[in-house]
Amino acid sequence: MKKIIAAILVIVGCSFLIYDGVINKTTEADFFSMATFAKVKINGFKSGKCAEEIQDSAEYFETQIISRHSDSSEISAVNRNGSINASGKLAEYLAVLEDVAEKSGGKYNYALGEISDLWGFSGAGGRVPDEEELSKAVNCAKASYSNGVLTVEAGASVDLASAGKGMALDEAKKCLEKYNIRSAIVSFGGSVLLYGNKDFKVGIRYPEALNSSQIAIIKTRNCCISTSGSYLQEFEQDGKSYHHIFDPETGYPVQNGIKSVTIISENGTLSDALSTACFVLGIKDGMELAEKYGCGIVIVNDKKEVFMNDRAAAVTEMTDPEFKTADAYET
Amino acid sequence: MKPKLITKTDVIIIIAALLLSFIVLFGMYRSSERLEAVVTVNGKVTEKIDLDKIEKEIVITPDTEPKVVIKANKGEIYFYSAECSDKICIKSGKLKKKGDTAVCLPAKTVITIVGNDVDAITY
Repeated sequence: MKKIIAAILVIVGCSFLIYDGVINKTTEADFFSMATFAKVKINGFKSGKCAEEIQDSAEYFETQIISRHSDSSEISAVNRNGSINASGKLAEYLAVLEDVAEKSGGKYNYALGEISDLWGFSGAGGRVPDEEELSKAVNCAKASYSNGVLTVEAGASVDLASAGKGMALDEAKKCLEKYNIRSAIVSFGGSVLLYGNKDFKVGIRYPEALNSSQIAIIKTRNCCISTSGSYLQEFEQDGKSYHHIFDPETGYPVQNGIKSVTIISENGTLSDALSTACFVLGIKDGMELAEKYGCGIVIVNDKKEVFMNDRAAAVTEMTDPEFKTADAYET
Repeated sequence: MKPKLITKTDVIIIIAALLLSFIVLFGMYRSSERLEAVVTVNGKVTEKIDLDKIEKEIVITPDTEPKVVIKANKGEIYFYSAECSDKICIKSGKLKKKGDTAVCLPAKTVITIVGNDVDAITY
């Protein structure tokens, strides 16, 4: 009898070890991709292989498809030739961007590469561009996608920086599905994918901070969370500061008091593009657009006011008493 | 005589096992209270530093291009200098609490203080 009990205990103990070490194995990896710092934490039988594949596919996606600084990519090809037949991988994402561009009334524009270059955000240090140069770049900053063909106006260049990290999350999600992963969290910079039936906590960073200070915590699952923040890339000239999110109609950085916009969506490309679109649109129109897509939205302005729709409010807890929630439509 | 299901020795073994597991748990709890900084270059860990135990400033110069210099004192670690263009790593300031992270993208160098109450940060 005793032997049987001992045997049962040993078997139970071993199965716990096997469960934790093999079936539910956790793999963590850090790497640099999509011009940012990426992290994956995956729980599942094939987590190691899956983590490698996520890294490889991000590398491929960046260098062969979306980077405008890689000569072999589709985006640099369209910028050289004016038009391309998009590959299946790219086409799927362009359709999302085109839709956001249309629904935002052109406030989301993925052809701002030249404008970004004029402001010096692609190279070292920023500078205020010459007005004439800028207005020339604004006038031709047009790209469109339909029936598999991506076209860009002469003098403009397609730049997918505003949605590339979200696309990388969607690519990562395909790997997680392929390997039957139980749960995972993947981030490219500040764009995060929560995968599987497990709640994760994601902090919204304190605007201006470059460390881990946060103003709120989103607790949720099975979605992508992206933030556009003016504070991430900015420079000062003659006592004025300029950031990297441009109004496509003027070519100047958006000045509407918004510090950051966070979007919660099932689709990574949409969450990334929409966070930029809503930043440019401003609080009222931005919240309306997020509603149209059924996404959660959290906007933080320079008065430390926080605006959320119902979907975001249901999963977001404010953690910094300096910031208070406000009613969007009264401002 | 029919042997007893549980003997005195068994009880002693069970109590000893329980005590041992408490000690292990306590040890894990204590170590989770520590401030440990990890420096990685290109995804590989190059340094692990117990920030509570530092008595004299530690200067770290990982083998990177552009060059960066990391300094650690009791309870804090930071990018002291960097030859990159944006200096975002230096602007990140001193890392002092769990979850604090500073990244130098050009040098592919990351400093993190291990442990955090959230799984990720959106920014």
